[in-house]
Amino acid sequence: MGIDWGFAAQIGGFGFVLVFAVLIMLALAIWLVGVIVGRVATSKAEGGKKENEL
Amino acid sequence: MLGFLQTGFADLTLGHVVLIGVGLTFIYLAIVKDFEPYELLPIGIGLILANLPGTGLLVQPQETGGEIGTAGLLGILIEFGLLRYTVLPLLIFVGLGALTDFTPLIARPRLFLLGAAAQVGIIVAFLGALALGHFGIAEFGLEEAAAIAIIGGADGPTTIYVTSRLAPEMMGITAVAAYSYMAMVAIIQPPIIRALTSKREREIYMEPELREVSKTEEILFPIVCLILIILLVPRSAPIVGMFMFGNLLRVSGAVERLSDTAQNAFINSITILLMLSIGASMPAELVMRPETLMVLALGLIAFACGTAGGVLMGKLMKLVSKEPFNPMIGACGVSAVPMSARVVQRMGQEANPSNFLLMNAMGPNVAGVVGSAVIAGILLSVLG
Repeated sequence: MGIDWGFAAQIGGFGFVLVFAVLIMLALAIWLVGVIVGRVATSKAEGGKKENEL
Repeated sequence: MLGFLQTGFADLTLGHVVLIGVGLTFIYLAIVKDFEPYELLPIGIGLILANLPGTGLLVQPQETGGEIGTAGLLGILIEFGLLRYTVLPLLIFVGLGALTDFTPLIARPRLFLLGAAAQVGIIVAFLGALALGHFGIAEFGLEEAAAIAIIGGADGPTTIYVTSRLAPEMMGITAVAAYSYMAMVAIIQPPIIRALTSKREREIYMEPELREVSKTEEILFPIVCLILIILLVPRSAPIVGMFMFGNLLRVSGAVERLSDTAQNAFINSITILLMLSIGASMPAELVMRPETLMVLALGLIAFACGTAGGVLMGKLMKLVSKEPFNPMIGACGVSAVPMSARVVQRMGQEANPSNFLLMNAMGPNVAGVVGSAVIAGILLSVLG
């Protein structure tokens, strides 16, 4: 069976690199969401504390 | 006398008998050995029904020329559920999403890397299958090679979906291979993990408690994943869309009844239909070929290489991590949720009884599911 090895190598190599790229982007996005949500929660908690003090 | 009564004995071939035997073995394994019972029991029955001659059960509507009442039940399920519209493996992702807890991955998003590294098994098997085709050992083209390789994702529904799109005639055997290897994780993975890690590495203690994940993060996770992955790899949309939708049902807290249904009645109903169809898509004419053994062997290679890729990435992450990092958890990047996490947990405790790696191992485990969905989308983009 005639296999186009250049195309096959492209699928394999490009596919593997793309999986890494996508999952790295996801990791960064999820990390960023965690940071933002954490900061918002902290500032809300601090705001609540100040209101109680007043 | 009784000439009108046609028994199936006359048409029974050796191939049918062998596959009925395989079906009975699956049922035995499911009932007696508790070996993936939810999958193997309906697959076993489907396999037996598909190989009893003269039933008409496998006649698909497209083969009847529109004649009413001539299509068989299993043929209808196969044609509409798997071949023509492929709805069954996709619907099962709603249930799987509703059953998946992503918090270990949200707490440590860098574990996504392990899920990516473990996909190397898919690439190795893809090239291996093509090599067999190249040397004339088997008739595997690009589509067949991709369908075989995806077994290495250790994710049954993804395997079924990709195979049904690319090489439908191989669907039954790739699905059985994927589920069988998932069930054999405890046998396949430990020797590979041991070969690639030292005793000292296996002893490494990791904090079992991960940081607390807020409800907002849990809700945002499926939404972010869904949008980002589908934008980057649009052909992964059917899998990722259903998977993340199911997860949103679970974490939203707003639709308890839907979440409960997706986790129980819905996934169970779809499992019955899907597995019965998978078993029925293995008639002797399609399975009793030398290629079947090659598919099984390549699937095993994919699974083993995926495990190795994950562990090697784990070793790399151990080198750069500020906190202690046990490279064994990389093996869970192949998915096989939660079996591979349990294997690593057990091996971790054998090496160091104070170690409790389960939560750390669940992160790469669910990352592997996302990784295999992404690579499935890539393969379908190029070959589908």
